[in-house]
Amino acid sequence: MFKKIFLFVRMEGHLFSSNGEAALSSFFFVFLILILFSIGSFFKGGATHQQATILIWLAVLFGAILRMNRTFESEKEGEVTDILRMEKGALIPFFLAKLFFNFLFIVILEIVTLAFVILFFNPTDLLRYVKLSFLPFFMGAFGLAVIGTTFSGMIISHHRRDLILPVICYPLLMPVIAGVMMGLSYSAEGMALTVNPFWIKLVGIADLIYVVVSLLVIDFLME
Amino acid sequence: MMKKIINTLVYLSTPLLVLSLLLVFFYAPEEKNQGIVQKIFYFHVASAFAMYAGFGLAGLFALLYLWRRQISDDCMSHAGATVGLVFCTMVLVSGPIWAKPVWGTWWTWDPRLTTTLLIWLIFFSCFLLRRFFGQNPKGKIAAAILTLFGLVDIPLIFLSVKLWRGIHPSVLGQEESMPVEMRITLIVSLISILVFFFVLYFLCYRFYQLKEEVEGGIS
Repeated sequence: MFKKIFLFVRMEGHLFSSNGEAALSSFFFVFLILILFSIGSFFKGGATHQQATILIWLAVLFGAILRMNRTFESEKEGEVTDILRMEKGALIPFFLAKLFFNFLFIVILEIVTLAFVILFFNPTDLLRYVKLSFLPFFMGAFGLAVIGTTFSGMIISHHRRDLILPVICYPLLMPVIAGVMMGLSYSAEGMALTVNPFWIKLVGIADLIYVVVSLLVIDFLME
Repeated sequence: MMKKIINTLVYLSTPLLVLSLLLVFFYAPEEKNQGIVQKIFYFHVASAFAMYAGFGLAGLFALLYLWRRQISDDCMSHAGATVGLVFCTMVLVSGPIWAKPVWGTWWTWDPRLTTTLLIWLIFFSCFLLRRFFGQNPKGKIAAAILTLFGLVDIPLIFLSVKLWRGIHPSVLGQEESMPVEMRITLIVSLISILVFFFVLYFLCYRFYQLKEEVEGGIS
């Protein structure tokens, strides 16, 4: 099992590095969102750390969906998924490799967006509070990666998948989105997440449920 | 057979709905603090039960569809999601009407309200997904999977109030929470709305089944 996962991760790594335009588009889109906010002068005199962390999360949410839509781009042509379905025990490692790279991509996107936000919005004391925001960002990235990977596999062959993925992903991601935003609000106020753990627990439960259900229905997803 | 079931349910639901209206407005006492607006409670709670029944049936038949691949299971799941969505909308509309005079706000991000809205969004996206795919069989599989994801969110609604205290009241299951007249009225309302739910459910099922026959999805 682990050997298979390692092989798929290696293969996915090659695909990821050779198909950089989807990732680049996401970075560019995030950059555009931040420029629009900056030009719109939403945060005159510098954003507070609370506004800055929530802005990072929202920009990542919109930017990451572009890359998610291209998760199974390489497998669209030919009968790759059919062959994988015939090979016993190959689908789960294949899915986990895709999930790992999507998660990694979102984490990188969050770091890059943080740099952009510091550059454009001059947030006060953001770096001091960002370590408190680590857990909501990390758990949010995982939830986003699970749902994005799962449903991108489901609509792989639909010609309007660019439209479908956000429509089905964002409602499912609502507990994750809301939980991360609330968690970020508390941590930006300098509070430990244990002060009001409801929202972060909600993100954790949602992440867990989504990953379990995704693994259970993986065979149907790849049909 | 289906026609007979639907007719029986219609004959049963009409007098039950009339009876529940009579009980709500002429039998159940007016709540001292909240006044007449509290009467919404009987429809709000009953609609919530119908919503759970609809989404539960949608999830059950989605699972059966993934397993057996029978079009009738997909129609059952689709009907459950549609009627569940209608009742979920009723819950989300009646809730704020009741909340405004009582809580002083139309909406608050209380865990139960949030999760109910979340489920509405998920099932509405499921409805959109079916429209995107049309008669493509892949759309049925996608809708079944999305329905299952929606279904696993439902326990969060129950858990959220119990585990993470919100301001939403939890009157059911508390013996002393209401007088016997209110309790009787609530039970009759629940039964009448659930029977009405099944009328809509079977009508909806029949509609989707006929649609499949006409559009060639079934032989």
